[in-house]
Parts: sequence; structure tokens; C-alpha cells
Amino acid sequence: MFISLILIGLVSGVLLGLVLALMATGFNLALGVARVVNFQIGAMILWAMYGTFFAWSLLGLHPYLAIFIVAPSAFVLGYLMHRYLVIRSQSTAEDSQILFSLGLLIALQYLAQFCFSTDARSVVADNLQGALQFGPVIVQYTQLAAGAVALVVLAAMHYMLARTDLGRHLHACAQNPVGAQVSGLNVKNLSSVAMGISALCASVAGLALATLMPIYPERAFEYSVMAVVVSVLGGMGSMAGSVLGGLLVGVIISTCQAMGYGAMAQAIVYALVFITFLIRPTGLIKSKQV
Amino acid sequence: MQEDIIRVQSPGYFEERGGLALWLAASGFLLLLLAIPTLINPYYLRILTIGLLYAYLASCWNFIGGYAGQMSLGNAIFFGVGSYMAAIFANYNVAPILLALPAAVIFAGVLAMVVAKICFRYSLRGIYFAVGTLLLAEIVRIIAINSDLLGRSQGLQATARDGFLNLQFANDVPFLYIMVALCVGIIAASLWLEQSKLGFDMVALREQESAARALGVDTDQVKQKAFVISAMLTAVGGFMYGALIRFVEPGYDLSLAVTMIMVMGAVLGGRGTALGPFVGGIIVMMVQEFLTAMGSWVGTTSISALAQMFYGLFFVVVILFFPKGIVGQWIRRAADRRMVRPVKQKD
Amino acid sequence: MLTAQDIDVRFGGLTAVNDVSFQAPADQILSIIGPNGAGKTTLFAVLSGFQKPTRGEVHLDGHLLSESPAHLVSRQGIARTFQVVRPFPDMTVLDNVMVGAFARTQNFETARDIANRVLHKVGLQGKLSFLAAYLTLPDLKLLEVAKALATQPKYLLLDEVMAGLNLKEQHSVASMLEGIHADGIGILLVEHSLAIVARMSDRVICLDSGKKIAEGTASEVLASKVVQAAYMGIDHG
Repeated sequence: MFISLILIGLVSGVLLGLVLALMATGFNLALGVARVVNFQIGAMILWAMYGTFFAWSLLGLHPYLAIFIVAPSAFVLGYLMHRYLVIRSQSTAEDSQILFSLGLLIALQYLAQFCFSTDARSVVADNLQGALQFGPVIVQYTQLAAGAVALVVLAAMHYMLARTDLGRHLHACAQNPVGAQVSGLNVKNLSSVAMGISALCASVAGLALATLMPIYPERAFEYSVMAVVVSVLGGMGSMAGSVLGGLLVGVIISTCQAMGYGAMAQAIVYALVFITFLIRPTGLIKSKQV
Repeated sequence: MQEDIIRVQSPGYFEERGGLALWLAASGFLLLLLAIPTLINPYYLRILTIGLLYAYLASCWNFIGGYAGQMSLGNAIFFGVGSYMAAIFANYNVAPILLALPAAVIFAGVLAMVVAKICFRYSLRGIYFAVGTLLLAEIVRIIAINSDLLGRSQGLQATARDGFLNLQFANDVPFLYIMVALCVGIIAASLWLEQSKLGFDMVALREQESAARALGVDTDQVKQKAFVISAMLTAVGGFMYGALIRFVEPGYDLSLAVTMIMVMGAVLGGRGTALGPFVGGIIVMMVQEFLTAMGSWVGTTSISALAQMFYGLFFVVVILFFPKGIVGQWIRRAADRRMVRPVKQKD
Repeated sequence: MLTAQDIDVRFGGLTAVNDVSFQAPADQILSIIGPNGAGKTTLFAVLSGFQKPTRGEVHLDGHLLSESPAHLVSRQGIARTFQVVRPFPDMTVLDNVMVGAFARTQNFETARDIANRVLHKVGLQGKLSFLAAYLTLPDLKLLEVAKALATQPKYLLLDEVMAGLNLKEQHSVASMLEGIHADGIGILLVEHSLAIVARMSDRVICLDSGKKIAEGTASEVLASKVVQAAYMGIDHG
């Protein structure tokens, strides 16, 4: 009985963890390349969830088809947000920047609340009903799909960063913005692109979450904290770290939930991350780059 | 032969701190409140009392976040200690509510000492310190939500108990007086700090930590002191809130919302200035009131969400346009002006 | 008397300081020269408590210093400046120096007096109310010295204080430092400006790749073939 709970926790946790890893990757990218604390990422996730919901309820689109609308829109909005708004906060002191992004988080969260009220919404993914069962472990198809989609996007991100010109340029900006500028890279533009990609990752994560849990505005802050927490735990600047961190946090949360300690799951994760701040602030995997 | 020395004119005491006009205005405002409280409509009286509380809380945060320059986002913990202590003393009939004040202050002090020792011993700074303290506050909030003693997510409705020792008054006027006294007290304390070794040490470590250490400043200890002082003073504010409103809940008292009031008040007014957070706190209250009033015109809860949205945008605007704060910017500009037009003086 | 014995500083595989020992009596001005990367600043970091030596000890008048953190070393009487100046930008010149003065007193007026006198000695008395953020480099260098001086140290450790100054400015600062030394404060200089080293030093040590390769008077060390090869690139083939 106990073992089966652990197993359920593990499997669910890994699947959830992939989604968390995607959120953390988004956060990392903004921090590493654009040098921006994207604390409003939780609001981006929230808006993506609403986007998914309305694509489903108004247009009848399956969430994983809606991705083709939601993700590009997120990229564009993220790009514009950075280009015309966030970039102005660059000149302020580092710790003021987190206040700036907290302000944006609050503003975007309550904008959503104003538009859509606090009523919880749910997306029902039509052909993903039901669950897979092997032995004592039950896994919803929605969870599997969420994990799979997150994995695909994470893989795509990795490919982009490691093998494309864009990825090289983003690395350059992250490592040495002045040097990059001097070498002819348009750092300002690349920073906005990074933010756009950050928003894109957040939107896919939001989309996946929309199939798993009810949507309501108050959770935006929580999502932000999760993104930061997984990011730091895994090691800011390392994608492998984000994945590792995500899996770890996902497993902890899911296992706690499976065993009935759902309420304290978050507190446990926060405490773990706090301890990480103290003893190993570079996170589980040390890296100098995104 | 006497040399003409081009010397920058030494500014006056209040000139260096926001201008004589501002100080006179603030003093006048407080005196006015003291003089005519009964002429003010009880609704506005409460608003002003809360506004003074915000001003006071911002000034408390200013010790750690302004003078010492450490962005603590967890001060809600100590506010909550104060407010919950008041409610607990009331509900569980522990003792007269007034005694909850020293209990809260001591508890907050000890808690802050532990947190500070841990954080600063491990050199937590910058964004790590900010997010770290935020996480601690969230942990406390989650514990409160899961605690029956603390009323879970419903919070606690503090039973009204009679008598002056239980802070039961005929109206809110005594609370106003207390808040005025607290504001005056903390501004005076800030002014005193600015002329003390501790104050100089705090600002030095904010500006350039390694250079401060090279001059003999024990930066870890100074940060701890700043954090603990800030925490204990914040607990006083929390206590006043609990005693006044008589309703405490984790969703507010231990939340980011109350932390943002303290932080934005100080940032808007001017971190590291004596009068700035007071001014900032009052403005934050005014903005909140304005947005709520705007909301009540239309009267649905969705409009109150709109008000909150503008409130968030207000933060964004403050950071973009008043990074040094209203008073902070004034002081800086005055210092610049003095440099451009030095007064030629004979030695 | 400030002594360093058998100082090693190793960072992983890199040895920054290798078996350096010397004595610095307070009545002497000691200069440490050597090519970049020779370990001079690391040595200063050890002497001032910013870096623990991997091996070896530093003593001041018999007290062990090398186990103490920077702020305690400062209180014991070692004041250092930084190669790249580190003022407190948002504070006035006077306030900057008062931070140092507060190392010896708790009293505001006393600290202000000390700071005033130090600033007079250093030549910044005309700029007391200037914000440090707006000072020119020569003034920032003077401020750096003033801050350290206000702690009423036994020894002043000056890390490339002449860097960025033209020769005239350098000699002006040298005169000021000689005045400070005359008041009984020991001075250790890390310097590249050989003219200043020649002018000011009672003794000179030359470091290369972490090792002490020469010690003696300025003329001895500067004439030494070993030093010339390592530092000035003169090949005696």
C-alpha cells in the first residue's frame, strides 16, 4: 500500500516535474539572457491557461491543438512586453527589478480576475479521458500527455540552444552582453527574443496545467514561486538542472499529495529550496550558461 | 594671506533630509490629526489611522531594506506575529490584550534573530535574500493555514474584551493618537540612527560591503541587528492592526500583500531616508482608497479586481519613475544642486 | 611589527603566493613590486584578513592575525585600500571617512572631528559635502586613503594607489603619504610606479609568480638582475 503510493507519487511526480522544468527553463532564459527577473511568469502561465480554456470552450479546440495559437501569441506578447516595458526597468537597481516584476505579476493577475472573475474554470481534454493502469499505479492520460508535451518542448529548447545560431547568440548574450554587442549581435533584440521564448515555455506549461487542474487567478503567484524555486534548486543557467530540479520538486509534491500531506507539500519544497539557497546557491548543477 | 577656498556650503539639518518645507508639512499634518480627530468622519478616521499604520510599517521596513539595503520580502511574518498575538490573547483569554504587545515583540525578536543568523551567516544577499525571505513568509503562511490554533485559512476573529488594557475604546481616536505617536517615534528613531555608528555602518555595508569590512564593520552582525530591529518594530505595527481591526487571517496578515505595502511605501517615499517611508506609506493608503472608491462607484467585485490591477501598475510606475523615491530623489537633486553652485567662502 | 611567515595561498591547482615571508617594522615604508599576477594583491588580502592563507601566519605585534576575518584585522590596526577604489557612492566625502572614524569611537561628534582632520591632511577639505559618486579619480584615491586613515591604523596597506595618476599627481600623493608615515604609521605599498618606489621606499620586496625573488633597498632591488629579468623584461642573456 505504502509502496504503491510512492510509485504513484513517482510517476505523477515525474510527469508534473517535466512541466515544472519547462517553467523553470523559461524563467532561467529570461534571467540569463535578458538579465531580467521574470517573476511575472506566473501570470503568463495563468493567461495561457485562460487562452487554452477559451480556445476550447469557444472554438472547440483540443488543448494540444490550441498550442499552435497560444504558444506563438505568447512569444509575441512576451517579446513586446520586454521590448517596450520590461527593458525600462534595466537601469534600476537589481533588487528594485524584483519589485517591478512583482508589480507586473499583480497587475496581470488581477487583469485576468477582472476579465474572467474568480470562478474556477476547467478544461476537459476530450480524447484524453481515462487512465492507464499498471499494477497499483494509476496514471491519467492527461498527465501523460502533459509530461510528453513538456518533454517535447524541452527537447526542442535544448536543440535550439545547443545547435542553432540563435542558441549560440543567446548564449553569447548570457555570457557577455558587452562582448556580444561589440561582436555585432543585437543584444536588445535578443533579450526580447529570450523573453518571448520564456513566455512561450510558460504558455506551454500553462496549457499542460490547464488540462490537469482548475484555473483560477489566485494561483498565479504560486506558479511564479514554483518557477523560481525549481530554477534555483536545479541551478540557474543549466537546462539539465531545471529538468533535475523539476523532477525533484514534482516528485516531492506528488508523493506528498499521494500520501495525504498535500497541504504541506509546498511548504516542504520551499524549505528545501531555502536550504539550497544557504548551502549551494548555484543549485544542483553548476553551469555558467543558459 | 587668507585663501579663497571654494567650499560647498554645508546644508542645514532638514535641508539634507528632504527640505524644511516637507518636514513642516509632515509635522503640520500630524498636529492637525491630533487636534481635530473628532471632527473627522469615523470612516475617514479609520482610513487615516490605517494610513499612519502603513507609514509606520514602511518606516520599520526601511531599517533593513532602506538603510541596510537588504531587500527583505518576508516582513509579513513579523506583522503576522503581532496581529496574531493580539488575536490569540483575546480569544484564548491569555491575559489583557495589551500584554500581547511585549509578547509579540519578544517573539518576533527571537524569530528574527534566528532567521538573520541563518541568512547572513550563509551570506544570503541580493535576489537570493529577497526570494529566500519570501519563501520563509510563504512557509509561515502555509503553516498558519494548516493550524487549528491559528484559525486555519479563516483566521481568527478577536473577541472584543472590555477595558483600556484590552484596547477597547469608545471610538478609534485613541488608536489614531497611538499611531501618531508611533510614527513620530519611528521617524525620530530613524533620525537618531542616521547620526549613530550603527546607522553609518548600515549604509556603508549597503553601499560597498567589502569596503565596510575593511574599515572594521562587522557586516554580518550589523545586518542581523537591522533585521531584528525591523522585525520587532514591525510586530508592534502588526499588534496595533490586530487590536484595531480585530480580525486576522493568513491571506492578508501573512501574505505578500502586506509585505508589498511596507516595501512599496518605503520605495515610493525613499529608501534610507527618515521621512520618505512615512510619506510613501500615506500615499499608498491614498492610492488604495482612491482605487477602492473608484470600485464602489460601479459596485461589483470584478471592479475591485480592476482596482487591484491598477494597484499593481502603480508599483510598476513607482519603480520606473521614482526609483529613489520621492524624498530620496529630492535629497539627491538638492545634493547635486549644492555641488554645481558652490559658495565661495573665505577660510 | 607586522610579520608574515611562510605564507602560501593556493586556489585549487593554482599557487598564488608561494612561501613568502617578511617583516615590516612600523618605521619603514615597504614596497612590494612585481609583474601582474605575481600575487601582490593576494598577499595584501592575506595581510588584511580578506583571504585565509593555505599555510603560514601573519602577526601584528605578536598577535596572530591570519585566523581573523577582515573586520577584526582592521580593528587590530591594519587598514587597506583597494586597487579599484571602493567608495560609498551615495554618501558624502565626509560621511565616507566617518565610517572609518567610527571604528575607534561611538560618538558622532568625535567621528566627525577625526574625519575632518583626516580629510584636511589628505587635501580633500574643500569637498566635504560632495557625493562620492561624483569625484574624479585622483580625489577618489585620496578618499580611499582618507577612509583607511580615519581608522587610526598602525599600518596602511595601499594597493596600487598611484594607478591612473599622472606623475605630478603621484608625487603629490607620495608627499602626503610621507607626511602620514612621519606621524608613525607603517606603510606597505603595492606599486608599479618605479619612480615612486624609488622615492618612498625604505625596503622593497619583489614577487614573481607568487615567490619572493628579491628583497633589499630600492636601489638594490631595482638593480638586481633577477628583478630586471622578471619585471622589466631586460634580458641579461
